[in-house]
Amino acid sequence: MSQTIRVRDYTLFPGPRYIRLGPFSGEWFRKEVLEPEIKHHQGAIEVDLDGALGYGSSFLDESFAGLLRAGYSVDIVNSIVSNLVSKEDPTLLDEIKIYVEEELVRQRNLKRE
Amino acid sequence: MSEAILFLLGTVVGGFVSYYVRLLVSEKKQKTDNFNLLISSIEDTIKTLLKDGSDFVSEYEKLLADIKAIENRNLGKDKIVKFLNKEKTIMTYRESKRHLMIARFGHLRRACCSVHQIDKSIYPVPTDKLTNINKAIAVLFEESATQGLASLCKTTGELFSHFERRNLL
Repeated sequence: MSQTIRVRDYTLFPGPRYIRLGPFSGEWFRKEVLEPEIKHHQGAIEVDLDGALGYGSSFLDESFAGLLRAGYSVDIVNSIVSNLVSKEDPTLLDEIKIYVEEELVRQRNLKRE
Repeated sequence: MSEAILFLLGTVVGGFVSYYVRLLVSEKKQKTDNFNLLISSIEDTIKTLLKDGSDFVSEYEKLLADIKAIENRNLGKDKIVKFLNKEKTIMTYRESKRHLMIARFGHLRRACCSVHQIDKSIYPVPTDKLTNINKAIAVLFEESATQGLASLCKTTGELFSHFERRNLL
């Protein structure tokens, strides 16, 4: 049974990338909301993105691709990304997949170097 | 008698054909009108996004001038306190401006999806171009205002090309 996290329960105005740049940042969301829930539910979580005003690219990148940078496995991140809910704006899911894919490519290139 | 029946049949068939043709023409016109409305809405949103970005850059330039003055020790204590308050205001201003631009970007994204809904065979949803615009907004507010604005100009131009429209710049 997966746990549903609704972004709108935390904020209607998702913020910038880092905590130092403003409230409700992607870094804050990842560290304070996503990571504890991932640990508690062994990665079986569903993130509902509906209801917020809009998402900046840095918030999305830091929240989801940031999980890879924080050391979470590709399988866990892929499972979270495939369980995202965005009925109001389905193209948001494609955008998040692009960020995760870009991070994977970046990490692969780093390993090659 | 048979001529009268043929005439009647011809009238009925002709009526149906002309009704069908009118229906097709009006559907096509409705489609074109909706498309033009959406493209105008996309153009307006992009113009506003560029204006917001440009306003933010001017404000940011003023802030940089104050920082330089502090570095050169040209500001007295009172002016430094005033500057710090101003910096706080700028932080709030930056966040509100960022939220506003992201809301406008959301509108832009929905308009692009609606264009796709009108005729799926002509314009696919330009996900990569929209993602690049969203990235440019992030650069504007979180990395370099001028580079972000330049990137915003470039990426919105690419979105115009996607819809076979001339760049606004």
